[in-house]
Amino acid sequence: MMRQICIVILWLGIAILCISCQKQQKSQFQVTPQKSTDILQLTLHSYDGKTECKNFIQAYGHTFLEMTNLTNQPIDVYQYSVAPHASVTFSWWAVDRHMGIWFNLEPWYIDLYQRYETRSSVSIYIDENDLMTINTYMKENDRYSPFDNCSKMSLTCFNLVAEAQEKITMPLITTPNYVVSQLKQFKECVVAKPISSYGEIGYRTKTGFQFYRMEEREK
Amino acid sequence: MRKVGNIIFSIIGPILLYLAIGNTYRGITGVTLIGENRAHFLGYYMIASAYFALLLMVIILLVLVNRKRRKKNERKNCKTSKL
Repeated sequence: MMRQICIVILWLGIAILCISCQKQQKSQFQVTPQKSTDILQLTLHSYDGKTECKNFIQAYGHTFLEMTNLTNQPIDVYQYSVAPHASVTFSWWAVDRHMGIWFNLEPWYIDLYQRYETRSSVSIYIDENDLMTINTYMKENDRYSPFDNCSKMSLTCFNLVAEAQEKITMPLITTPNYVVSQLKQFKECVVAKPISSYGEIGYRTKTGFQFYRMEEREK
Repeated sequence: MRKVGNIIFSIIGPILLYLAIGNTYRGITGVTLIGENRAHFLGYYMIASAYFALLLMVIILLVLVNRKRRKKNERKNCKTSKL
C-alpha cells in the first residue's frame, strides 16, 4: 500500500513539474485608440493580494472597474450619476447588507487603508451602446457568490464591451491573480494607477441608493 | 495505512485550523461600513468557512478509514480465534 502511495505521489510530482515547465504562450493584447464616438473610459483594475499576506494568511486580492466620464454631460452608470470628467468605481462585493454591486468602495479603501498598492490597470474606451450593454449586464447580475466573484463579474463586464484584441479569455474559475497575469500582457498596463473618484459609497436598491461611509481607524 | 493517515492529518489538520482561525480573525477585525445600519465584509468569513469545511472533511475521512481498518482487524481476529 505504501509503495502504491509513493508511486502516485511520484507521478503527481512529475506531472506538476511538467506543467510548470511548459512554456506559457504569451498573447499580445492591445488597446484600441479612442474614437470620436467614445464617451467613457473603462478601466479594469486588479490586485493579486501578494503584498497583503500576513502571518502566512493569504490575501486573495480584488478586481474592480472604474468609469471616467469623458463628456461634458452627466452619465448614468446603473442609475449612479457620474458628473462630467468625474469617475466612479464599482465591483461585486460580499457585504452582509447587500451581496452584489457596490460603488466607490475601492478609492476609500486605498486612501484610508493603503490597500491594493500594486494593482495593475488597463483602460479602454467605450461608446453609448457599450454603456447600455454594461447597464443591462449590471441590472441582470447584481448578485455575489464565490463563483460569481469580483474577478469573474468584472472581467465578464469588461469583455462585453472590449474590442477583439482587448478581450481576455475566461478560465473556469477566475481569480484576481489570473486577471493580473492577463493585464500584464497589455503594453498599456499601468501599475498603481491613481484613482481620483471619491464619490459616496453605496449600492442600488429598488427605490434609489443606499449610501454608506467607510469606518476610519487611527493609524 | 492508519499510521500514514494519522501522520498526514497531524500535518494538514493544524495548518487548516490555523488558516480557518486566521481568516476568521481577519474578518472580525476587518473594516465596517457605517450607514443606517453597520455593514460587514463577508469575504474572509467565506474563506474561513471553506477551510473549516475542508478540515471537517479530512476529519470525517480519517474517522471512516480508521473505522474500516478497525472492523477489518476485528474480523481478522475473529477468524484467527476460531481457528
